[in-house]
Amino acid sequence: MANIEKLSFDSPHERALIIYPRLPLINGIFDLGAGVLIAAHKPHEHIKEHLHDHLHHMHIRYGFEFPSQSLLGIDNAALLVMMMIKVEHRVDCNPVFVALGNGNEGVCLKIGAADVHWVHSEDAGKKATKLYEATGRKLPKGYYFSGFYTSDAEERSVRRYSKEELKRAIGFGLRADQHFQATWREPKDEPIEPYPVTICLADDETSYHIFFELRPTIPLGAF
Amino acid sequence: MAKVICVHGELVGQRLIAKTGQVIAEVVHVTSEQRPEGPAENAFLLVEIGEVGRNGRYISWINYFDLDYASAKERNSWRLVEPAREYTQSLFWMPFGWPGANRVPTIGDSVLAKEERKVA
Repeated sequence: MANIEKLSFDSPHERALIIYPRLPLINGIFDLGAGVLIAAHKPHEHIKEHLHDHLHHMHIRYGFEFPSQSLLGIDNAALLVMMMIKVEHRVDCNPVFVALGNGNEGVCLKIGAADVHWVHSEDAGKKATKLYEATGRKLPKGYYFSGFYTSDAEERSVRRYSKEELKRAIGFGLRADQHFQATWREPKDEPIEPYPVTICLADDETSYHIFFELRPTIPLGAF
Repeated sequence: MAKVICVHGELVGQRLIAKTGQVIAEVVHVTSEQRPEGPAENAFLLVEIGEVGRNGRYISWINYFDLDYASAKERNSWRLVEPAREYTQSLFWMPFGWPGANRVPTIGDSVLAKEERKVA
């Protein structure tokens, strides 16, 4: 409850690590255009940076922007991302991409001289659930929020960034893409039907957070 | 139909009988592409050790975090092998498991257990 109670004391104009959702800038693998946010794939050949290519999986993609900001009142912060997925699924993160490099490999965002990675956190998932329900909505039956904190390169412990590290990364504004892959918690030979995914972006230092929903893109002419 | 294959990779963990410490399964990270006969590069497998041999299947894990998580959920039932050790074994390969396969702890279990208690 502590985080929700904090909402009433922090002014988002005074103390917030502001982040906005955006469409991705970079095309995804295969036929995923930059505007395709949710897409399911059967198992396919191995692609570097791909976590679940050997299993049925669903890609979850979006872009985000940190506008230029003062970081007033923020000494250190970890970034959080939480996504509402089906209980039969788990989701895993790629690093944050800022551009395409050689061989179409992603160029990773660095903060504090290291690639940004993510570690699972059930606490982050619980935080998103509370924030979501504080809006008056109910978590739909059969779904849960899977949450992540920024992490060390091993993706085993939380990494918090100093104000200076954040300032150097954000500068006059930072635009990047994020890519996740969901798969069956217990692998099975069954396709995953694409479904809308609600995302929550936040940090562990301020009460700022934002929800948005990604929807599967149906190409015109598909039916 | 299960095929007998030889799997190459690295041993990153073991599943134990908590009371006796007996190793009953191995967690293997596959380091080279072995499809179509075997597992994919970068996959994590659970290889159960039976009386008549080993059975291997995919699990959804991706790194040591999952072993940390399993160790916290099932105390004394998991051992991390860190650094990883080279692994080569013949086994029955059933990528999507077999009836009665033991599931492994997976991130989100606590949240889901809470939901199940609510329903009950």
